[in-house]
Amino acid sequence: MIEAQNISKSFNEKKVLDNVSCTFEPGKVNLIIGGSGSGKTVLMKCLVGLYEVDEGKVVYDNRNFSALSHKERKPIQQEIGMVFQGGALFDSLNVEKNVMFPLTMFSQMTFVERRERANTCLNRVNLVNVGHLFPSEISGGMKKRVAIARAIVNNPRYLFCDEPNSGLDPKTSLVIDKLIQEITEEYKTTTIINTHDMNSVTEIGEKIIFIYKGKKWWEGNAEELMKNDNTELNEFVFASKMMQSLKRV
Amino acid sequence: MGYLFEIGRFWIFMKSLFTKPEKFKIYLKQIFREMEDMGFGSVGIVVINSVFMGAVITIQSAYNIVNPLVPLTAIGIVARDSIIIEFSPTVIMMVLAGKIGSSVSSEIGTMRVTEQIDALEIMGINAASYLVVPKMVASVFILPFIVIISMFMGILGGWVAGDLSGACPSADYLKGLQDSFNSFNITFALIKTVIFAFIITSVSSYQGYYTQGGALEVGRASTKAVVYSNILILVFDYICTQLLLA
Repeated sequence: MIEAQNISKSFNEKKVLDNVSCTFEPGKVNLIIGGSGSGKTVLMKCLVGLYEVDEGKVVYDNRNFSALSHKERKPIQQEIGMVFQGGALFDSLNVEKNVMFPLTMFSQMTFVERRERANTCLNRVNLVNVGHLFPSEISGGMKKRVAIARAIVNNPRYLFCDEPNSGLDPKTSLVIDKLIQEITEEYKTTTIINTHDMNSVTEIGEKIIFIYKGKKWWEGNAEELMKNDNTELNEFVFASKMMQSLKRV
Repeated sequence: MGYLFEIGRFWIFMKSLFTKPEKFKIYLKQIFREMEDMGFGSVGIVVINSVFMGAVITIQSAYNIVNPLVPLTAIGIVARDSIIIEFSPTVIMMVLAGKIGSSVSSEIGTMRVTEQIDALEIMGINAASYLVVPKMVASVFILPFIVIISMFMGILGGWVAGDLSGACPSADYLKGLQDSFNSFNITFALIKTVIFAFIITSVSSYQGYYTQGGALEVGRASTKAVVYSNILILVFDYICTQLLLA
């Protein structure tokens, strides 16, 4: 379980996160939703330690992550897998070596074992015979899947995905969503997805947190989301005609 | 205030580099890869620059020696010392600041804006150390060899140009090369090269590492890396000369 306790974060005296508290449960797909500039990416970056929180703390299974030094954080960081918005694959490494990278850096596995594990993960995300290709040679959807394979290669306890569907067509988005959901159930990870894709929210959202103007505005599940009476949340969720028709149904 | 901030952040950046590597074997592999990129990748441009500059130094020296009492061997002496003391370690390193500096800065800058550095940090890897130390070590080890190649090619260029143009016959040039040779000049040049190599990689890496934004900012960081490296090379050239030759 990951807990954010009264987190605040400012940049140049502009408060981007204001006293946010939330809990992300293990074995569930936890979604952080909100409009552009609402602070959800900053919240995710605070959770993984890319930004230091100004106030409050981040707790990973009763371990106060915020109070630890960079060196002390390493064991927790090695339990984290993260899928970045653009994939963040290493340009100089081919797909197979990208997926093997965390194992190369931290495990005592032999090259053959590492390669086997990397190919298992690539198969898991339905990628075969692409190990020799470089990131510049594969499509956006494939990049996301390689990023997922890299994130799960060392069996993480915590999986973070920053807008995993951005720039993808609806069908590929659905594949990625299902994949993340399956991995969460299979590995019992605490999965946190940052998104503003309403398809993802309705398809896989088990716990949803709505961030508005840097504050936690609403919390619930997909069913409660459809019936909520929160004005700001409804403006965000039912902005499209498709979602409006869904609400009427 | 901006400069003070940059200087402070530069020292914090430098401090962050010197930590225990996650896996020494990986770093070693990276060092050899960088040596190949920086070393072999720079030979072409260094050879072309050195040959032509050596030729120009020789012909200009001959052009300036109008006094018949000055022996033609002086051309060889001037060419040799200019190339060894100043041209190869300083001018060639400034050329390499353009080539290597912009490449290092844009590589790290692109990694920053495409979140590859964030990916490393989340894995618990000291990204600064992992990316910069191999480049720094590689440059400090390989660039002295490149400068030695430059010295050789510069002197060779001068010899060929002097002979072909008739400005300095071969025998005079070769005699001049051997006259009153001070081997400390080579040591001095190599000391400068090591210092300049460190400046190029550290300044360029720093500029790339703190890039924020997109392609435009990566380009700006590369430009800054080359400009600051060149200025620092000139400043440290003066300091080294004052300390070691004066």
